[in-house]
Amino acid sequence: MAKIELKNVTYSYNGETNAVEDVNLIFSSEGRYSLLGPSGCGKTTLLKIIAGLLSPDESEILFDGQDIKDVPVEERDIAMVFQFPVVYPMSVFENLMFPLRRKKMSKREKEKKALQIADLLEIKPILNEQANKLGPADTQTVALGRALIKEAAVILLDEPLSSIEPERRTALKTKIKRIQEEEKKLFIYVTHDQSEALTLSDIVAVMKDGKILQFDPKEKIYDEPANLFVGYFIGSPGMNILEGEFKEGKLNFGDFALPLVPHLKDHLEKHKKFKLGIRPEYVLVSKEERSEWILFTCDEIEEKGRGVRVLCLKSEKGQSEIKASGSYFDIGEGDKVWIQFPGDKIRIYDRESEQIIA
Amino acid sequence: MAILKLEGIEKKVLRKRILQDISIEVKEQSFTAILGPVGAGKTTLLKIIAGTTKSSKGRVFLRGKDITNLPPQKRKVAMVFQAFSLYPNLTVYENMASPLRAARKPEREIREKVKKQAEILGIGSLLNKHPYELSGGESQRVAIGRALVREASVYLFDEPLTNLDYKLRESMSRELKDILTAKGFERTILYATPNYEEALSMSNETVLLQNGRVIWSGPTLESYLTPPCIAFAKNFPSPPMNLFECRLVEEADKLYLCASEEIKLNVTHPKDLFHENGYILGFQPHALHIEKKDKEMIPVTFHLTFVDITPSGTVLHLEHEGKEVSGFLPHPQDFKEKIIRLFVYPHDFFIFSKQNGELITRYRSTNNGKN
Repeated sequence: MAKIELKNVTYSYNGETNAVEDVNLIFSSEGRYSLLGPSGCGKTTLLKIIAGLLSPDESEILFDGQDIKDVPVEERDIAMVFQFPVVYPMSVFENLMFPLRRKKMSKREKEKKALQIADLLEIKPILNEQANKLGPADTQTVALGRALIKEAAVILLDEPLSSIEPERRTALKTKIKRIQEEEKKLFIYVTHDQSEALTLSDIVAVMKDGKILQFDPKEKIYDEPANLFVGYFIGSPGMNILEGEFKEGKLNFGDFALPLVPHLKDHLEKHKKFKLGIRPEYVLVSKEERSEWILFTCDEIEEKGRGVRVLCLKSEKGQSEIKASGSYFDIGEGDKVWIQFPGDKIRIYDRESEQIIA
Repeated sequence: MAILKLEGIEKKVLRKRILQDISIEVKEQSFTAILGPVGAGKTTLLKIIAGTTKSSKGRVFLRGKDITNLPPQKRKVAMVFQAFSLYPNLTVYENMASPLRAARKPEREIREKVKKQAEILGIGSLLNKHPYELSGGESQRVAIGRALVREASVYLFDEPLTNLDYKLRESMSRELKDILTAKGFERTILYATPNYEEALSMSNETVLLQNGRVIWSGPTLESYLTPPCIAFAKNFPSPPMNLFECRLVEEADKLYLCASEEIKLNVTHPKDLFHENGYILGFQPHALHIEKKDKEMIPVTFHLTFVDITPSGTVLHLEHEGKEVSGFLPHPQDFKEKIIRLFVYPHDFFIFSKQNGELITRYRSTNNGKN
């Protein structure tokens, strides 16, 4: 059992810019979390702070309510897996046994445990091979096994897949997921790859410029991005963003207007100038004219594979561009289409702060 | 007419065959993707065309002329590498001008060409900067610009987007396609990539390269919509098409193609089509739906082994009667269940010959959709 609380965590490498700024997060025990953001956002710094490899001055890091700022790395109940795995120049089996060398257990018990882990990670066939001569994917699997065998309450993973051959990533992801299901631990997974974050965690912290932009269950991150950066960063293509103004009872977007969606009325009264966000997959597209739908032209089609196309749509006067994704195989470039946004999929953001309003 | 033709190209390094028996023709002004995994031989193939590597066997023809033994600078071929290297001590302008200087072009022509190309690529304001001041996307544009200022018959691109992060890749792939296929600037392009989405969104022809061999080549989009053969279906999209061996079964005067208890198609009517012993039945991962939208849809039960949520949707790793199957949903979704039921439209099944691997037909429901 372990619960980690970060309070006002700020860290700077050079004393000028903050790599991590005023981070407040709570990781409950046995949860599956990820820290997601572009390179340089501070996610690895934050992970190192949790691990104890970096110690910020004026912050609190609580482990089950106890401040552990002065607890050295090796005494924290934490195991870490790194981006570039390090293994010892000995056999895979000896590598797995290594963290147990000082534990008060019988040799048989230790071996039994190493075999269990090897079984879970499907590395039994390579147990006698030299670990430092394995390919990147197998090396990382061994490193993962070594982290698991310590029986720490917290496992930190720092971009564990980014140095692995693409063809082997799915297999390794499957193993990590299986471990997460079978081992009752707190997992914190750092990545720049949203697919890893969405696949290997339940709760995601999206980071940018050292700050936490959103900390929510992954479904909410996708459906209700807290601000426009999250909306753009998550999803491919990202959210459509339109600058709008509420006047004469309509949502006006320069060269086209949408009727008011009733549940947004109060919010729009307060924020007459706003930005609207809608995911490309939620934009409704029709080849036939429908009342209150807006005429657009299909300017370009991008094939995404897997039965999905992205239509780049331009408004009649050409000032607005909207992307719509779906299996629109009956629509060609240059075709006229009519579009509509379903009311429950529209998100409204403040035009200045770009934070979500509704 | 083919502008570039390769005939029986083979490449051996020490004793290892990197490429073998490569014979392809590239049409003028076409955009051809060389699609294959890491280690397939894509880069070696491009280098042989550029002349920076010699083939062990075979010939290269450009506009009908045998250029197999010509040095790279005498071939009208330009190349952009995956690990693009700009001269760090030169400005963007000088980097872009370098191939023209090497060709001893007059200063005025260099200035005009570099400026024009920089405008097209949206890097006109960066001309006086040095590479260290550029972002990843900007550097890549400069490298592309440096290749495009050259007057070449064929332009080769070796995974130009692979090293960029995915958000940049997303916008660059569309931009690059627009630049390379802009009206008035039509070029012949060979584009190596391990990523089928890039091949699909950019190219009009695809060459599938695997273990140094061409396993298929043909038009990109129409083959994607209707896979012409098993080699393509297995290797083009990621995840690949689900393929099942099946038998022809006669039951109460009706003829069925049978892959499992649940995957069973009534083929009584186009009966004369089926006279071989074995067939392969296939459907695309995205043909699996979570809802039964229509009564003709066929329910299939799966073990769900892994859910991989990607930026553009969810890949389901499934098992049906011991066979691995993949599914794709166009939105992120996680599942708690271990056994799920999904639905396929009969018309999403493709029937291939087991003997030669070619597509026989896409399935059409008979008896008004009743099986």
